[in-house]
Order: sequence, then C-alpha cells, then structure tokens
Amino acid sequence: MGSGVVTPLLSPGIAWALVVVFAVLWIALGVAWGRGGKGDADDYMLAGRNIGLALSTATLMASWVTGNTTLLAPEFGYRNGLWGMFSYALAGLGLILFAPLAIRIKRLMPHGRTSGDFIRLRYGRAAWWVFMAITAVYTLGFLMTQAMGAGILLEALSGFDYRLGMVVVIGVSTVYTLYGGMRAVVGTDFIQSLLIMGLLVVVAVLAFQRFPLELVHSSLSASHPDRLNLLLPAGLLIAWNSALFSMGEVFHNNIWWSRVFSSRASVVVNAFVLGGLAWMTVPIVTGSLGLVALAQNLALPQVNMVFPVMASQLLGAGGAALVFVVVFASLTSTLDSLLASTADLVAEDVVFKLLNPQLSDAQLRQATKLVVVGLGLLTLALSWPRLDSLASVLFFTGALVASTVWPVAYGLYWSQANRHAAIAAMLAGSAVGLVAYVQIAPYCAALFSTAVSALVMAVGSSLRPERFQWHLLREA
Amino acid sequence: MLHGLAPTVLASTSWMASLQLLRLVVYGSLAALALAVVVLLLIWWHEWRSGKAW
Repeated sequence: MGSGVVTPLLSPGIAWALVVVFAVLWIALGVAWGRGGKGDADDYMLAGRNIGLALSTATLMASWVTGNTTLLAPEFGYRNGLWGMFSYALAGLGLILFAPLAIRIKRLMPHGRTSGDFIRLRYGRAAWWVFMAITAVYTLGFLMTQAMGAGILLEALSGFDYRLGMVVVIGVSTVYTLYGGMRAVVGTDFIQSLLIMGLLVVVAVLAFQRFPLELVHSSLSASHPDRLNLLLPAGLLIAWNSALFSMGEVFHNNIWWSRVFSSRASVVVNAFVLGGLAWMTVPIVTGSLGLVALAQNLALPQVNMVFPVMASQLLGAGGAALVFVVVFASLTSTLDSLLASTADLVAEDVVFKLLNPQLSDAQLRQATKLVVVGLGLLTLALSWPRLDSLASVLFFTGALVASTVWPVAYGLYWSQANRHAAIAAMLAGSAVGLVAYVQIAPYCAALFSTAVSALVMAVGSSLRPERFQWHLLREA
Repeated sequence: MLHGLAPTVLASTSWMASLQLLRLVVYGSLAALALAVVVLLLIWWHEWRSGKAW
C-alpha cells in the first residue's frame, strides 16, 4: 500500500464522529459484558465455555472478515476477475473443514484452553517449541498487517494521520478486550458481523442499482474478457493455495481453538459450517464490486482502494461513510480476537504451564490481562514505522502455517501419529514451502508445504507408530 | 517456471462466464449474505429468549 491518495473520501469531521460513536459503543458494551459470568480465569479467557450458536457463528465470521477481506477481495476481483473472487472465497473452507476437528477437540479436551495445550500434551515440549515459533511469526505478522492496515486505511478514507488512525483502532480494541475478555470480544463480534454483512448488502444493492450487472458483463466482455474466463489454470492453483493457506491458519491458530473451547459442544460443528458458508459470500460480493469498478474504468489512486473509491463515487459521501464503518468493524473485530486469543495462548502456555505452574486462578486471569496490554503495545511499537510491503510477509507465512495442518489433524484422530514425525513434518513442510514460494511462485507455497508435511507425517508415523493414550489430553 | 508457462496456457483456454452465470454467482451470494444476517438474528432471538445465548 502506498500513500498515493491525496484527497480523503470522507470529511474528517464525519470520520471522527463515527470513530467516537463506535469506540464508545464497543468499550461500553465490552465493559458491561465483562462484568457478567463467574469472574474466574475460564470466564475471562473463554467466556464461560457456553456460547450459543448465534454468538459462536458470528464471532467466527467477524474474526475471519479482516481488513483484507473488505479491501483485498475487491482488488482480487478487479485484477483477476471471477477466479480472483472464487479463490478468495475458498478461504472459507478452512472454517468448514475445521468443524469435525472442532467437536473432536471439544470431546478430547473438555478442560483445554489453547492450541498449545494440545500440541504439548499430544507431541511433547520439543514439538511445542516448533509450533509456538510458527504461530508467533504468523500472529505477529497478522497483528501488524491489521494495525498498519488501520493506519493506512483511516488515512486514505478520512485524512487521519497514519499513526493516529493506528493508535485509535488498536487502543479501542485493547481497552474493551482488557476489561471484558472473551465475553467482550464475542459480544462485540456479534454486532460487528451484523454491521459488516448488513452494510455490505446495502452498498452492493445500491451499486448494482446504479450500475446493473448487465452493463458490467457487456463492458467486461468487450474490454476485459479474461476477467470472465472460467478456465484459468493459474486461477485453479491460486484457489487451491488459498484453501490450504486458510486451513493452515485455522487449524493451528488459537483464535479458532479458543472459539472451540468457548462454544457449547452442541453448537460447535454448526457454528464452524455456518460461519464458513456465510463468510464465503463476503469476498464474492466485495469482489463483484471490483468488477463494477473495472467495468466503469474507475480512476484509482491505488488498486487496493477499489472498494472505498467505488462506493464513494457511486453513492457519494454516504457510501464512503458506510465503507468506513465496514472497515472499522472489520479491523476491530479481527484485532480483538487476535489480542484475546494470543493473550490466552501466552498466559496459559508460557506464563502458567512453562514458567509458573503454581499460578492461582486469579493470578492467571491477571496475567492474561497484562498480556493483552503488552500485545497491544507491542503491536503499536512494531507497526509504528510504516512498512508498505508487509502484506507479502504475511503471505510468506502460508508456507509455515500450512505445515501444521497434518500434525494437528493426524494428532487428533490417529493414536499412532508420532511426535518426532510431527516435528519433522512442520520443519520440512515449512522449509519446502518457503523454497517453493521463492523459486516457483508465492501461490505454490502452501500447496508444497501441506503435501510435504502430510508425507513426512504419514511415513514417519507408519515406520515408528506411537501408542498415544487419549485420556492424557483430558489433563489440559 | 510456472510464471513462464501460465501465459501460454492461458492464451489457449477460455470459457467465458455468461450473463446468467454471473447473475447466479453475484446475486446468489448477495442473497445468501442477506439471508445469513436474518438467520443469525433469528437464532440469536431464539437462544436469547430461552436463556441459551451465552
């Protein structure tokens, strides 16, 4: 992302009013919801482990709709047409395919708190270190892209200074996550997901009223027929990579494991399937707005601003305000989830299980709160110097996270899955994936990483099968 | 390597999406997104009334 936008799309006064309204709303609701429940560590970290289907589905949706989904998906549609939209939408498969694993996790680990708990109990401390290194790189990259995205977007949309926009978004997310814990995250995610989905429908319907799909099709057929081509071999590769990358992200990251532990067992499968299916419509809808922009030959200061520029040109200041709310909700809903679930992981796995196993319940809750604040400050510090090429760094992590898919899946279902094979699978998959990223193409990285880690895991476990006792996972 | 191959292959294969198919994909997704909002609200209303939202 560059700094090419000269004129903001929204007046700073309206932007400030929207920021203040939503900041006050999120913080007030977060604090209020945080006062509910029993007040113990489980309540703070996992919202009492009893979330129903609506809140569970909504928090999955809201966490998975990142700043990228609302801005990068339209760019994918604009640059790559239908295949760009489809490939982005396939990232929803990560949630859907995790559904059967989610209920298995819930049954095997009724007292579990984090993905790190599973790796440590299933494969031992050495595998845990490898896993934690992978998740640390990915999570820091994810936090930084959301923080930088916030600064850059608020600057482009409303003229805010880059650092001011970043401080506002991180500050608001950190404050309500700190006071309300997972209850605040899940509750605000529900409202944020409804806002995102509802406003996207409004923007898309108004856009297609102003510029009908018939015009889009005829214009693209004449000037950009490649965007309507359904036989794109490279598109198929990109789509596969997108699906596998998302599987790696979901299967390993504690955002999704914390949702499993937070939800009622009876709703967990339906929540992941419904959340994934509902999410898949978002990149298609936002991607189709990229097609409208292309069909209109819209002048763009930078291509990742397709959505806001298109909305403001077609719908005026009201359109820009709608986009501002959608983007603000997308960023805060993802940042709060990252802060809460990463704080759970650090407090439970590092502070409690590694450094101080004598920690009381109240001390663990306090430690989690301190980690939330520490993560917020760390994100701010790392994102302070503006690095415009960070999105490619995040894509780089696809090679790393995809290598965890099979160690997690095998480990949950196959008692013979071997701990040494799991370590080798994560290391070999990551290494080969990174080589493929550099030597072949970025969109091959997750594909190679998953394939190699599956092979290493299967061969290693077959040659030296382990006899894992499932009841050991209940100790978490 | 694949970067070099892709343009050659792309040039020789095409299956253009018709207007009907584009309508199905875009309007279908839009309708599904709107439906998701309604379904989420209905589920929440049902769970909230029976005390099962949290």
